[in-house]
Amino acid sequence: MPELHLLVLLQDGQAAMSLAEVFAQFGAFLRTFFVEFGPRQFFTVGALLFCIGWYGVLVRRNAIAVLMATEIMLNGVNVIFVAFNRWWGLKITRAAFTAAEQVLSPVGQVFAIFIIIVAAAEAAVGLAIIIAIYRARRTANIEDLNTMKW
Amino acid sequence: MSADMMVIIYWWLFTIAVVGGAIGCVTFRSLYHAALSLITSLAGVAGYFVLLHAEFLAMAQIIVYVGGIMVLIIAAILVSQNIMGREIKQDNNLVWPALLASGAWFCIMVYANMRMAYVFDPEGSWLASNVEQVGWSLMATYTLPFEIAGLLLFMAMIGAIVIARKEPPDA
Repeated sequence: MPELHLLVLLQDGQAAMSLAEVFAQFGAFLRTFFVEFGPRQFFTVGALLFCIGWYGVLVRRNAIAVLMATEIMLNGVNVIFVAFNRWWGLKITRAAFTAAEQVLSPVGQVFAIFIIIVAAAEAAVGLAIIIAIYRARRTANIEDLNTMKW
Repeated sequence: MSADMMVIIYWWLFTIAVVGGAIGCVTFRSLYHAALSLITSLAGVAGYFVLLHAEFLAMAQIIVYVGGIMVLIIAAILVSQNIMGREIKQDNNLVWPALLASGAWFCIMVYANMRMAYVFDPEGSWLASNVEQVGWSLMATYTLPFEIAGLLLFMAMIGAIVIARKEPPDA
Protein backbone atom coordinates (compact mmCIF):
# COMPACT_ATOMS: atom_id res chain seq x y z
CA MET A 1 0.00 0.00 0.00
CA PRO A 2 1.69 3.22 -1.09
CA GLU A 3 1.96 6.07 1.29
CA LEU A 4 -0.59 8.71 0.45
CA HIS A 5 0.82 12.19 0.07
CA LEU A 6 -1.51 14.88 1.23
CA LEU A 7 -2.10 17.23 -1.65
CA VAL A 8 -2.88 20.40 0.23
CA LEU A 9 -2.46 21.40 3.84
CA LEU A 10 -3.52 24.59 5.50
CA GLN A 11 -0.43 26.52 6.41
CA ASP A 12 -1.44 27.29 9.97
CA GLY A 13 -4.41 26.64 12.17
CA GLN A 14 -4.25 30.07 13.71
CA ALA A 15 -6.84 32.78 13.75
CA ALA A 16 -7.34 34.95 10.69
CA MET A 17 -4.57 37.37 9.81
CA SER A 18 -5.01 41.09 9.90
CA LEU A 19 -5.53 42.84 6.60
CA ALA A 20 -2.02 44.34 6.64
CA GLU A 21 -0.52 40.88 7.06
CA VAL A 22 -2.66 39.57 4.23
CA PHE A 23 -1.40 42.30 1.91
CA ALA A 24 2.22 41.73 2.98
CA GLN A 25 1.88 38.03 2.24
CA PHE A 26 0.21 38.84 -1.06
CA GLY A 27 3.18 41.03 -2.01
CA ALA A 28 5.59 38.18 -1.32
CA PHE A 29 3.31 35.86 -3.27
CA LEU A 30 3.33 38.21 -6.26
CA ARG A 31 7.12 38.60 -6.25
CA THR A 32 7.68 34.87 -6.61
CA PHE A 33 4.66 34.37 -8.85
CA PHE A 34 6.19 35.70 -12.06
CA VAL A 35 9.47 33.81 -11.97
CA GLU A 36 8.31 30.36 -10.93
CA PHE A 37 6.72 27.42 -12.70
CA GLY A 38 4.62 25.46 -10.27
CA PRO A 39 1.16 24.47 -9.10
CA ARG A 40 0.36 27.93 -7.73
CA GLN A 41 0.64 29.51 -11.15
CA PHE A 42 -1.61 26.92 -12.76
CA PHE A 43 -4.09 27.12 -9.91
CA THR A 44 -4.34 30.88 -10.42
CA VAL A 45 -4.83 30.60 -14.18
CA GLY A 46 -7.39 27.82 -13.75
CA ALA A 47 -9.34 29.90 -11.25
CA LEU A 48 -9.16 32.89 -13.59
CA LEU A 49 -10.49 30.80 -16.48
CA PHE A 50 -13.32 29.51 -14.31
CA CYS A 51 -14.27 33.05 -13.27
CA ILE A 52 -14.13 34.39 -16.85
CA GLY A 53 -16.39 31.55 -17.95
CA TRP A 54 -18.75 32.21 -15.09
CA TYR A 55 -18.94 35.88 -16.06
CA GLY A 56 -19.76 34.81 -19.62
CA VAL A 57 -22.52 32.45 -18.45
CA LEU A 58 -24.10 35.19 -16.35
CA VAL A 59 -23.82 37.98 -18.91
CA ARG A 60 -24.30 36.60 -22.41
CA ARG A 61 -27.75 36.63 -23.97
CA ASN A 62 -27.09 34.17 -26.77
CA ALA A 63 -27.38 30.47 -25.98
CA ILE A 64 -24.36 29.52 -28.12
CA ALA A 65 -22.22 32.11 -26.33
CA VAL A 66 -23.31 30.67 -22.98
CA LEU A 67 -22.27 27.22 -24.22
CA MET A 68 -18.84 28.58 -25.19
CA ALA A 69 -18.43 30.17 -21.76
CA THR A 70 -19.23 26.79 -20.21
CA GLU A 71 -16.39 25.27 -22.22
CA ILE A 72 -14.04 27.90 -20.74
CA MET A 73 -15.11 26.90 -17.22
CA LEU A 74 -14.49 23.21 -17.95
CA ASN A 75 -11.04 24.03 -19.31
CA GLY A 76 -10.12 25.93 -16.16
CA VAL A 77 -10.91 22.85 -14.10
CA ASN A 78 -8.92 20.67 -16.51
CA VAL A 79 -5.83 22.85 -16.17
CA ILE A 80 -5.91 22.50 -12.37
CA PHE A 81 -6.41 18.72 -12.53
CA VAL A 82 -3.46 18.13 -14.86
CA ALA A 83 -1.17 20.59 -13.04
CA PHE A 84 -1.76 18.97 -9.65
CA ASN A 85 -1.23 15.55 -11.15
CA ARG A 86 2.11 16.74 -12.53
CA TRP A 87 3.51 17.51 -9.08
CA TRP A 88 1.51 15.05 -7.01
CA GLY A 89 4.04 12.23 -6.77
CA LEU A 90 1.60 9.47 -5.84
CA LYS A 91 2.97 6.04 -6.69
CA ILE A 92 0.73 3.16 -7.64
CA THR A 93 1.49 -0.48 -8.29
CA ARG A 94 0.99 -1.63 -11.84
CA ALA A 95 0.81 -5.38 -12.21
CA ALA A 96 0.94 -7.08 -15.60
CA PHE A 97 0.96 -10.88 -15.82
CA THR A 98 4.06 -11.74 -13.80
CA ALA A 99 5.78 -8.40 -13.22
CA ALA A 100 4.79 -5.57 -10.93
CA GLU A 101 6.31 -2.13 -10.82
CA GLN A 102 5.79 1.17 -9.09
CA VAL A 103 4.75 3.98 -11.39
CA LEU A 104 3.48 7.50 -10.89
CA SER A 105 -0.29 7.78 -10.88
CA PRO A 106 -1.83 9.59 -13.88
CA VAL A 107 -5.28 9.78 -12.25
CA GLY A 108 -5.58 13.53 -12.73
CA GLN A 109 -5.06 13.17 -16.47
CA VAL A 110 -7.63 10.37 -16.60
CA PHE A 111 -10.10 12.62 -14.84
CA ALA A 112 -9.37 15.39 -17.35
CA ILE A 113 -10.02 12.94 -20.20
CA PHE A 114 -13.44 12.12 -18.78
CA ILE A 115 -14.18 15.84 -18.42
CA ILE A 116 -13.33 16.32 -22.11
CA ILE A 117 -15.62 13.41 -23.05
CA VAL A 118 -18.52 14.82 -21.06
CA ALA A 119 -17.87 18.29 -22.54
CA ALA A 120 -18.07 16.83 -26.05
CA ALA A 121 -21.38 15.09 -25.29
CA GLU A 122 -22.73 18.25 -23.69
CA ALA A 123 -21.73 20.43 -26.65
CA ALA A 124 -23.36 18.04 -29.14
CA VAL A 125 -26.68 17.78 -27.32
CA GLY A 126 -26.68 21.46 -26.34
CA LEU A 127 -26.12 22.66 -29.89
CA ALA A 128 -28.79 20.27 -31.15
CA ILE A 129 -31.26 21.74 -28.66
CA ILE A 130 -30.28 25.28 -29.66
CA ILE A 131 -30.76 24.50 -33.36
CA ALA A 132 -34.16 22.89 -32.67
CA ILE A 133 -35.22 25.93 -30.67
CA TYR A 134 -33.96 28.23 -33.41
CA ARG A 135 -36.01 26.35 -35.98
CA ALA A 136 -39.17 26.60 -33.92
CA ARG A 137 -38.83 30.13 -32.54
CA ARG A 138 -36.37 31.89 -34.92
CA THR A 139 -34.27 33.03 -31.97
CA ALA A 140 -31.44 31.80 -29.79
CA ASN A 141 -31.82 34.54 -27.22
CA ILE A 142 -32.19 33.11 -23.74
CA GLU A 143 -34.38 35.96 -22.57
CA ASP A 144 -37.00 35.12 -25.21
CA LEU A 145 -37.25 31.50 -24.07
CA ASN A 146 -39.36 32.10 -21.00
CA THR A 147 -42.27 29.76 -21.63
CA MET A 148 -41.32 27.53 -18.71
CA LYS A 149 -40.19 30.37 -16.47
CA TRP A 150 -42.06 30.59 -13.22
CA MET B 1 19.38 30.41 -21.48
CA SER B 2 18.48 27.57 -19.20
CA ALA B 3 15.67 25.14 -19.83
CA ASP B 4 13.75 26.41 -16.80
CA MET B 5 13.81 29.91 -18.20
CA MET B 6 12.50 28.64 -21.52
CA VAL B 7 9.66 26.86 -19.75
CA ILE B 8 8.69 30.04 -17.93
CA ILE B 9 8.78 32.08 -21.15
CA TYR B 10 6.57 29.55 -22.92
CA TRP B 11 4.30 29.49 -19.90
CA TRP B 12 3.77 33.23 -20.21
CA LEU B 13 3.15 33.03 -23.95
CA PHE B 14 0.49 30.35 -23.41
CA THR B 15 -0.99 32.32 -20.53
CA ILE B 16 -1.43 35.40 -22.71
CA ALA B 17 -3.17 33.24 -25.35
CA VAL B 18 -5.39 31.45 -22.84
CA VAL B 19 -6.51 34.43 -20.77
CA GLY B 20 -6.76 36.83 -23.71
CA GLY B 21 -8.74 34.32 -25.73
CA ALA B 22 -11.10 33.63 -22.87
CA ILE B 23 -11.72 37.33 -22.22
CA GLY B 24 -12.31 37.89 -25.94
CA CYS B 25 -14.74 34.96 -26.01
CA VAL B 26 -16.98 36.49 -23.35
CA THR B 27 -16.73 40.10 -24.57
CA PHE B 28 -16.69 40.09 -28.38
CA ARG B 29 -19.94 41.25 -29.85
CA SER B 30 -19.76 39.15 -33.00
CA LEU B 31 -20.36 35.50 -32.14
CA TYR B 32 -18.05 34.37 -34.91
CA HIS B 33 -15.16 36.40 -33.49
CA ALA B 34 -15.94 35.03 -30.03
CA ALA B 35 -15.69 31.47 -31.39
CA LEU B 36 -12.33 32.21 -33.05
CA SER B 37 -11.10 33.74 -29.80
CA LEU B 38 -12.18 30.60 -27.93
CA ILE B 39 -10.08 28.54 -30.35
CA THR B 40 -7.03 30.58 -29.31
CA SER B 41 -7.80 29.92 -25.68
CA LEU B 42 -8.25 26.16 -26.15
CA ALA B 43 -5.02 25.87 -28.16
CA GLY B 44 -3.20 27.66 -25.36
CA VAL B 45 -4.56 25.13 -22.87
CA ALA B 46 -3.15 22.40 -25.12
CA GLY B 47 0.22 24.17 -24.81
CA TYR B 48 -0.14 24.06 -21.02
CA PHE B 49 -0.66 20.31 -21.26
CA VAL B 50 2.57 19.93 -23.23
CA LEU B 51 4.45 21.91 -20.57
CA LEU B 52 2.92 19.66 -17.91
CA HIS B 53 4.11 16.44 -19.62
CA ALA B 54 0.56 15.46 -20.55
CA GLU B 55 1.10 14.90 -24.26
CA PHE B 56 -1.86 12.61 -24.75
CA LEU B 57 -4.17 15.22 -23.26
CA ALA B 58 -2.65 17.94 -25.43
CA MET B 59 -3.43 15.94 -28.56
CA ALA B 60 -6.91 15.07 -27.27
CA GLN B 61 -7.53 18.73 -26.50
CA ILE B 62 -6.64 19.81 -30.02
CA ILE B 63 -8.55 16.98 -31.73
CA VAL B 64 -11.68 17.09 -29.59
CA TYR B 65 -11.98 20.81 -28.88
CA VAL B 66 -10.40 22.64 -31.79
CA GLY B 67 -11.24 19.96 -34.33
CA GLY B 68 -14.63 18.84 -33.06
CA ILE B 69 -16.46 21.10 -30.68
CA MET B 70 -15.35 24.36 -32.28
CA VAL B 71 -16.33 23.21 -35.77
CA LEU B 72 -19.71 22.23 -34.35
CA ILE B 73 -20.14 25.62 -32.66
CA ILE B 74 -19.14 27.58 -35.77
CA ALA B 75 -21.51 25.46 -37.87
CA ALA B 76 -24.31 26.19 -35.41
CA ILE B 77 -23.51 29.91 -35.57
CA LEU B 78 -23.60 29.85 -39.35
CA VAL B 79 -26.90 27.92 -39.42
CA SER B 80 -28.63 30.43 -37.19
CA GLN B 81 -27.72 33.47 -39.17
CA ASN B 82 -29.66 36.36 -37.76
CA ILE B 83 -27.98 36.04 -34.35
CA MET B 84 -24.60 36.84 -35.86
CA GLY B 85 -25.29 40.49 -36.45
CA ARG B 86 -22.90 42.94 -34.91
CA GLU B 87 -25.65 45.41 -34.12
CA ILE B 88 -27.46 43.03 -31.78
CA LYS B 89 -26.68 43.66 -28.13
CA GLN B 90 -25.03 40.55 -26.75
CA ASP B 91 -24.93 41.35 -23.04
CA ASN B 92 -27.80 41.60 -20.61
CA ASN B 93 -28.03 44.13 -17.79
CA LEU B 94 -26.04 42.02 -15.34
CA VAL B 95 -22.54 43.12 -16.38
CA TRP B 96 -21.56 44.81 -13.13
CA PRO B 97 -23.12 42.27 -10.73
CA ALA B 98 -21.54 39.46 -12.76
CA LEU B 99 -18.14 41.19 -12.68
CA LEU B 100 -18.50 41.62 -8.93
CA ALA B 101 -19.49 37.98 -8.35
CA SER B 102 -16.80 36.41 -10.50
CA GLY B 103 -14.16 38.87 -9.28
CA ALA B 104 -15.01 38.13 -5.65
CA TRP B 105 -14.80 34.40 -6.30
CA PHE B 106 -11.44 34.88 -7.99
CA CYS B 107 -10.15 36.85 -4.99
CA ILE B 108 -11.23 34.01 -2.68
CA MET B 109 -9.41 31.48 -4.85
CA VAL B 110 -6.22 33.57 -4.96
CA TYR B 111 -6.37 34.01 -1.18
CA ALA B 112 -6.71 30.25 -0.67
CA ASN B 113 -3.91 29.64 -3.16
CA MET B 114 -1.68 32.07 -1.26
CA ARG B 115 -2.41 30.61 2.18
CA MET B 116 -2.02 26.98 1.18
CA ALA B 117 1.19 25.07 1.59
CA TYR B 118 1.39 22.57 -1.23
CA VAL B 119 2.93 19.34 -0.01
CA PHE B 120 4.30 17.84 -3.16
CA ASP B 121 7.02 15.34 -3.79
CA PRO B 122 9.49 17.05 -6.14
CA GLU B 123 11.20 13.77 -6.97
CA GLY B 124 7.92 12.06 -7.67
CA SER B 125 6.65 14.44 -10.32
CA TRP B 126 6.37 13.67 -13.99
CA LEU B 127 9.59 14.47 -15.81
CA ALA B 128 8.93 12.66 -19.08
CA SER B 129 6.11 11.65 -21.36
CA ASN B 130 3.52 9.39 -19.77
CA VAL B 131 1.22 8.33 -22.57
CA GLU B 132 1.88 4.70 -21.66
CA GLN B 133 0.71 5.15 -18.07
CA VAL B 134 -2.42 6.97 -19.19
CA GLY B 135 -3.21 4.11 -21.55
CA TRP B 136 -2.67 1.58 -18.80
CA SER B 137 -4.96 3.49 -16.48
CA LEU B 138 -7.73 3.77 -19.05
CA MET B 139 -7.53 0.15 -20.10
CA ALA B 140 -6.81 -1.55 -16.77
CA THR B 141 -7.79 0.52 -13.75
CA TYR B 142 -10.62 2.62 -15.13
CA THR B 143 -12.07 0.25 -17.72
CA LEU B 144 -15.66 0.49 -16.53
CA PRO B 145 -15.80 4.31 -16.50
CA PHE B 146 -14.18 4.26 -19.93
CA GLU B 147 -16.89 1.95 -21.29
CA ILE B 148 -19.59 4.07 -19.69
CA ALA B 149 -18.07 7.17 -21.29
CA GLY B 150 -18.32 5.46 -24.67
CA LEU B 151 -21.96 4.63 -23.98
CA LEU B 152 -22.55 8.27 -22.99
CA LEU B 153 -21.06 9.53 -26.25
CA PHE B 154 -23.20 7.07 -28.19
CA MET B 155 -26.36 8.22 -26.42
CA ALA B 156 -25.40 11.87 -26.94
CA MET B 157 -24.88 11.25 -30.66
CA ILE B 158 -28.28 9.59 -31.07
CA GLY B 159 -29.95 12.25 -28.96
CA ALA B 160 -28.40 15.09 -30.95
CA ILE B 161 -29.51 13.54 -34.23
CA VAL B 162 -33.06 12.97 -32.99
CA ILE B 163 -33.39 16.46 -31.52
CA ALA B 164 -31.88 18.40 -34.40
CA ARG B 165 -33.27 16.54 -37.42
CA LYS B 166 -35.96 18.01 -39.59
CA GLU B 167 -39.36 16.42 -39.28
CA PRO B 168 -40.27 14.42 -42.39
CA PRO B 169 -42.95 16.21 -44.43
CA ASP B 170 -45.58 13.48 -44.10
CA ALA B 171 -45.34 13.24 -40.34
